[in-house]
Amino acid sequence: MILDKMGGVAICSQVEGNSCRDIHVTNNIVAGAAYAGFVAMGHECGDYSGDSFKDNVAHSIAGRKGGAGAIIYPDPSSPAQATSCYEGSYFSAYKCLR
Amino acid sequence: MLLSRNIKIVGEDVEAWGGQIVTSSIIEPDLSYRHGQLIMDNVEVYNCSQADTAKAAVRFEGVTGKTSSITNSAIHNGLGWGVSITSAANVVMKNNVIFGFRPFGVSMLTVSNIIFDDNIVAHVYERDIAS
Repeated sequence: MILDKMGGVAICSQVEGNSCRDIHVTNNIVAGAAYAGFVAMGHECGDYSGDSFKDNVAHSIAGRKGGAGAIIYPDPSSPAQATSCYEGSYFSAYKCLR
Repeated sequence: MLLSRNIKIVGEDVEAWGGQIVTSSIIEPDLSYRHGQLIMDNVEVYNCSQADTAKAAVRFEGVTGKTSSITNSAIHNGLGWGVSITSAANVVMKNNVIFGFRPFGVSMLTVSNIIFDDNIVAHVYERDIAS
């Protein structure tokens, strides 16, 4: 099976363990994308002080195999996220088809 | 969603080869270092990006140092990626529309100090390959 990488906004997600820092992705809208609106790093659970990924909206995310508004993955630079808990917050998604 | 702007950068889509705007930094043979910097405001980029490659319509590759910015612009309708920021630092993108690309609207990889704020990314579609 061939899996083609795709998405509206892919933040350091195409290579596992990719090193990125000081990223601020805020107040954006992805509308009408395949697979995922955003693929973004999470933050430590309960810590809402950062804005690496905040106040973004995804709408109408679909594709042949469905779609997700956001795929949140643990920040490789954060040991806490790798071992315990990570979280995405201040994000909305509408009409995403699975 | 208004895509037209008075300043236009238009590529050809002949044989799926679109134009690309590349910002990079290089070291000349005499070892002088040339910093790349892109400042683009209220510009329309149309028909750029090369199909089935990572050669996006607008690319930042291996560029650090001076801050680049793309603001109030429309980057639309290409056969490849919309915006690619790879091995780069100090890029600001605000109030832009990125419309009609495949299979990525915006990609960031190995980056630092990136501000991506108040942008609209729309109509990012799949490629027609076997699955």
